[in-house]
Amino acid sequence: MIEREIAHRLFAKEFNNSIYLKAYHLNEFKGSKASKLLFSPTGLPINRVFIVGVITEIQNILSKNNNLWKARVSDPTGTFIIYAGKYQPDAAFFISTVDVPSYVAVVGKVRFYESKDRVNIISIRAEEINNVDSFTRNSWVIDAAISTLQRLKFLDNTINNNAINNEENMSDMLKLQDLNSLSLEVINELISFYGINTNYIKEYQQDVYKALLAIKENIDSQFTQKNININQIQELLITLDQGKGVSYNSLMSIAQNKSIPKEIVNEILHYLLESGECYQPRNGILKLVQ
Amino acid sequence: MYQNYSLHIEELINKLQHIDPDIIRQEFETLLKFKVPIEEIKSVISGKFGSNNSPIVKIKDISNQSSIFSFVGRIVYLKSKKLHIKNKIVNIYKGKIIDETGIAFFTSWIAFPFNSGDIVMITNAYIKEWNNLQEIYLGQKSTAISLPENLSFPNENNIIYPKKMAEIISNDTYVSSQGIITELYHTEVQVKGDYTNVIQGVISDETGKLPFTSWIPFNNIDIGTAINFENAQIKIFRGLPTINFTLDTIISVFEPDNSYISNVNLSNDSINIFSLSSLSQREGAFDIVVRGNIVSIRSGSGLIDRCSVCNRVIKKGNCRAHGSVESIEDMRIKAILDDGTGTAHIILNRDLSEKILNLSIHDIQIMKESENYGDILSDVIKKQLIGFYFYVRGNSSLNQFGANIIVSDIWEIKDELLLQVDELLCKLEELK
Repeated sequence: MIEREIAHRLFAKEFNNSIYLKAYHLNEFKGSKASKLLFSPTGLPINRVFIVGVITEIQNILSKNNNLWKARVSDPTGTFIIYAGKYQPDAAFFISTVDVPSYVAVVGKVRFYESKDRVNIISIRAEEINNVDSFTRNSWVIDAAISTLQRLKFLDNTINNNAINNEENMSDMLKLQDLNSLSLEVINELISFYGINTNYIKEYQQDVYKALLAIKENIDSQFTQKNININQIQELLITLDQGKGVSYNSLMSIAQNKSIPKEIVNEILHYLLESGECYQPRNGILKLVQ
Repeated sequence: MYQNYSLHIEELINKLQHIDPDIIRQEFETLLKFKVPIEEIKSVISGKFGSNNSPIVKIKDISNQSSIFSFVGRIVYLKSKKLHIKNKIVNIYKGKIIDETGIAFFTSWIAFPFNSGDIVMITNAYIKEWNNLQEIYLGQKSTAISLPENLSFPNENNIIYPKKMAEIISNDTYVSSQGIITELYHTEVQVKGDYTNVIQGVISDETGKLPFTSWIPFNNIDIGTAINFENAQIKIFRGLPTINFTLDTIISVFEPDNSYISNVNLSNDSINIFSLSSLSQREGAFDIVVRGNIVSIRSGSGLIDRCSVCNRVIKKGNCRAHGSVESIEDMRIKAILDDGTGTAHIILNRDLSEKILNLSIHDIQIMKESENYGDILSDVIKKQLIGFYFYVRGNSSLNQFGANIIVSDIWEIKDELLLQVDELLCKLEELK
């Protein structure tokens, strides 16, 4: 079975700190050549990644035969460098026309330059890139946080239980953590290479904490804004209702006079209808449930 | 002459204990006269008389056997069949055989002088797939020996193999289980030219649900009835195991207690989300919900032409089976869903594509009139889908490229994130 490679979620700081290279079979597929893979500081073999962040800067790097676009996409912990060249025409076109700043989602493969056995510059070659909403950004931060914490917990267990030499124990834990693609040998190498200890794990946990705090503000303000809007619309539905409900068109025009955007009104009406707080006695007529 | 080789002959005699030592010596000598190398002689002789040390397995494990094996079982059904092969009449024997772990079909190409109910020891049998079912085959190198009657060995009447829905796989021939019927409808199907009424539906227990087809009429069984069933047949339909109730099946109704009912996922609304990595470990899953991001749109998405006869996708008005045909325009989206633990190919039909793109097929047909319509359409699809979170519901099956989900519903995720963030922050504060 040849499965498509998973797109991993990880924060920019962890991504940019990845410097451990090792020839490794990513697929169990027999006969495939072991490729040189980059391992992140929390032990994730990264090749394809999925990231969501704010695009903050675009740059056109012109050379003789390649029209290369570079973009900076930042998440709460740092910045990803994205490239798209002539072999990624869609992504290059997207970057050349994107509004800065805006939320983008990027699926891409890791590129790196090595010199003297050291990985220097890490970037992402975009396969797909698209504008997304703030909800997707916030969800992504949560997803990345969960998977990072899982890996950190796994490393923590490995170090503190002194289970490094206990093969049986190890494979049990590997199964638990869904990291069973990694062998014991690789994990030990990683721990000694990055100097993983309790403080190191604490530091990365702290980063996750900060990232979550950053989006919490955003979610909080959205949440309160939504509640304010819901109250406004409900009030309108009550005041405009003269017994037979309110027509959608009149509600919309009055809401727009009060500078509530059309999309927000639609979203909230959808929410009210779905939650059962509001119903349509006739098509196009809205009435609150008393 | 063969004194020098006595060690090798000794070894062969030990290995082939059911063969007369003199015959082995004779064979050995003959081959030696032709100056065949010793190793070759050994492999030829052990190949010719068959090694008797094939591993002994239980019936439940036979599907994992790649080479020959042996087992002990009781014949529960046997019938002979005459075949005409190259102007010769060959007798083959077909039947079912059981042990304490399971039941299997077998076909014997060798003489099989036994009766239903006998316990037999079969050596050097092998596995073949026939009609989606794995069957035991007895070939020229196989042997079958009758064993003395042993009352403690399971017989047809006292054996059941109860399984949970999630444990039922396509290799199961017969299963017994219990569950609650959650969907039920009557349909008419054509079998060998005749129309037959069958009952189809879905049966659920606490581990999952599976579709069923009943070829026998139901008495007092309707949606919400809890049933026990024994000896139902498992068939594969579109990569999914389907339970078939046949004349052999015994169905009984039971009164479930409240805890059983609350464990069984009866409502269609409650969502139990599977991780995509778990899908690539099971053969097929019926009616499951997964959550992930769309990370790629595959070629073949958008407007397609279908054959008006067989509904296949056609290119340039030519069907693979029916040649030049009239085409019917249809629409679909093929994409890849990724949740960070695994990936799956998802296929959306026209209705779902229209819903998720917020565009009808007519809008796209209008788009088609413009020059670079292909680019425009793929831009539209990508802009609406790539990167966003979706819930996907449907049936999953496994092929050589991983999990494949035929989507029955798809919707955008609009969860409340505040709770999740607070929960994670709490956890992290504890760790400090």
